[in-house]
Amino acid sequence: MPKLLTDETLRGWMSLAVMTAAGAGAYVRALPEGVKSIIQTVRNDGPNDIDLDNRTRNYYEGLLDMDRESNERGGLAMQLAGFFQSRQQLPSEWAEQKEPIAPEPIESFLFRENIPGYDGTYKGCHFHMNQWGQRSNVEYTKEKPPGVFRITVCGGSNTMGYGVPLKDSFPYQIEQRLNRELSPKTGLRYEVINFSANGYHLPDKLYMATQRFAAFQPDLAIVDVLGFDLGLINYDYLGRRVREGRNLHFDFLKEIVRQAGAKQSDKREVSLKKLKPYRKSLVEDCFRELHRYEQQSGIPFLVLALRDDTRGIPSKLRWLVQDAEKEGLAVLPIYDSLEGGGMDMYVHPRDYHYSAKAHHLIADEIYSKMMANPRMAAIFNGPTRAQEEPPK
Amino acid sequence: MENNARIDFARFGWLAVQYGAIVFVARALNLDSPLFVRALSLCGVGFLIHYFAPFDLKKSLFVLVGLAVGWVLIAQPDPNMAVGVVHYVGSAVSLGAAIFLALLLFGCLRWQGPYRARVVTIILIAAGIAWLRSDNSVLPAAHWPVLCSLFMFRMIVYAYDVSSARQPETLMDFLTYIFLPPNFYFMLFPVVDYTTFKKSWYADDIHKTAQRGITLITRGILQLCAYRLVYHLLPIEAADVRDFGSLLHFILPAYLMYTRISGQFHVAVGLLHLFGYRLPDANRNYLLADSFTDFWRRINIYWKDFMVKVFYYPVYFRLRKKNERMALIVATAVVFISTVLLHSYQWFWLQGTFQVTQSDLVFWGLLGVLVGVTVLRETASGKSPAARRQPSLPMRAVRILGVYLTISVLWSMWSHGSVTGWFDTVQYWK
Repeated sequence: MPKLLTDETLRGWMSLAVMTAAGAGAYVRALPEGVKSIIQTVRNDGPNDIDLDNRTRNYYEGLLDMDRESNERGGLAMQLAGFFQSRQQLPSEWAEQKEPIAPEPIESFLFRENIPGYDGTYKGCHFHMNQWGQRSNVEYTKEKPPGVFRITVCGGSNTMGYGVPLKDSFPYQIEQRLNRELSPKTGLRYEVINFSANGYHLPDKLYMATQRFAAFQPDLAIVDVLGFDLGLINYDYLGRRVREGRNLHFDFLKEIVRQAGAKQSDKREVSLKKLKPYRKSLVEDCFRELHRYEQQSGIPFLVLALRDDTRGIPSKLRWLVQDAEKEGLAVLPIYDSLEGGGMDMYVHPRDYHYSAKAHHLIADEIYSKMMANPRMAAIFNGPTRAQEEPPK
Repeated sequence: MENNARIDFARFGWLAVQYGAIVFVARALNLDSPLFVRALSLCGVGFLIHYFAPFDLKKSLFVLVGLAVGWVLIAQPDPNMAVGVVHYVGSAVSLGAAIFLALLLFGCLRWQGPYRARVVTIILIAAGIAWLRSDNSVLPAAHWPVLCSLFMFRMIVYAYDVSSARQPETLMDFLTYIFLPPNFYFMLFPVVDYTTFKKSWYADDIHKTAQRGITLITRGILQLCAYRLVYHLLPIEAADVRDFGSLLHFILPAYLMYTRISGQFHVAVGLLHLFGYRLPDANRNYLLADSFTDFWRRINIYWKDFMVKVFYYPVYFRLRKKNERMALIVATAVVFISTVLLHSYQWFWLQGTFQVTQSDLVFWGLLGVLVGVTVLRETASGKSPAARRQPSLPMRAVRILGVYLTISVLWSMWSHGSVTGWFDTVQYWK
């Protein structure tokens, strides 16, 4: 055997030389794609696709990342905490703060809803819910007042503004900016009503959009999507609905369940296997249903594709954007705000909801892209304004 | 011993170049975590100071380096200077508490009273600390895991070694053993044996020892790179298990995730070499284990040694005169039961809650049975492992594959978190 292979020190030098070359490769652009891809994979300290979907991790992973409990005790897929290793733990007082959300009875389609009238602190931030369970200090009337341009928004915890004060949440920021910049031109007052709640994924948002929005007479309705809408939560929650015997509400969900052969008696792993092949069709059906409702109700819809990963644009999110566009919906990909960002984009090293800084950047990107989008510009400056302007 | 600490600028320079390359690689490849490069850099500065320090001061300097590394790593820098200062003050306070605790524990064990009374006192102090740890009282929640990881296993080893020590241990040896610089970064730390640790200090020429350390760190870094590739490229979701091929794809990468721990352990032990401690390897080619006892001897060697010293031998030697076979079985069972309980104990100190899951019990239970049966078979042959006829190369390959497959199956079940959920997953035909 050559000495290079048998001598421990020589082997170490050889390994170190190879790794130093690989390290240098991280700064060199002109490398073959295959080599670049390997170096990029080694450099990637973020979660893999499975962990993004909140799969269980082993004992040591749990100890290293300190998130095993949340995974094994059924933490929501959206709780991205713990994947980037950090010595910081979540502030202990957060655990004692009551979430502004309550479980829904079994006959309901939704698992949980915001508590109407809630006023308290959660994740270190003050939360106030109005009588409709919307995060707002304003008690909106269902009937839209004259001279008001109303936007209804539904998303998950990020859009609700988990971990940041109301004034920093991007829906509120957009409302402020519309009133500051567009109102002087149009003479309208803008209201952004936020129906978002923690844990909502695409079918929940569709339900809220089709069942709750119309009562508030919106001029524009917004629904957000994130990469995780195509992840585990997508088919896991459908399986859970079946297992709990919940009302599936939408015909397309009933059809997916029928085709998959999912049953109430199935164990979780069995329903996951049965339903996973349908995750894309579930999303396609949600977008199709949303577009059908858009045409039927006359309420224009906008899909916001929100990136929540500072390291890159998730392929799942790109697919969601393409699919929503394919179904005829207006889509704004919000990809730029988090570009080049780091931990400052998250509320805490172990809680990956958007930070106040991220909310501000996202609000700016949404506003500028909305104003530059011909379809949106037509809505903001078009017939609605004529309808709403008080007679002179 | 002092001869082994002679200064040689050229050899030190070569070591420094290699260490610089390691820090560069860790930074360029963004390895382990953002704090990793800082930990390596701090240890590198410590190595520089420690190398040139007078021999008499080296031990106290080692403790100071440990405390300084801890102080910087525990404090979280903040762009707001005032907040940053508060963090550094908080870190100093926590380290002060750790020093106080170390002195208290040392004082208790140094006390001339009966050994049992001393151990009971230590247990009472630990219970008090556990009570504070359970709701993160007194110290910031983020500081607790770091400080607990310094004491949780080494105090057991130290207390055990004190019972058989011929002369009282010195405070300096105790402090060097507790405040190991890399432990402030690696909270999962190899259970270094006190006697071995003490004996290994400048037992060989520092340049040879440090070179071995560099080699171990390099091996660790290589394994951390391998871990990233395994983690990002190999695993599939449980819901994707649909046939035998996908079942293998689901099971086989689970055990390879351990490369992260073995990589960290190599780096941690390698870093101690830079300060003159020539310690044994933490893992040795564990993927090449050809029997379950071989696996147990190769993976996390420090843990195996800790178990053998503190649990296996005391039980085995007490029982073997009555019945050797029984002694082997009981001692092995005690080792694996202790392993389950101590993993939960470790979980408590690092996480603040006790946890023994069904998966833990099944994993360690089955592994204990496999190791126990292999031990009995080996002893039945009546030959020592060295005297036994080595299997042919193809046979050895088959055995290695068999052990790898078995451990992968167990590891995949352990990683899954739910035994019944894992069984539902692997029954792809259902």
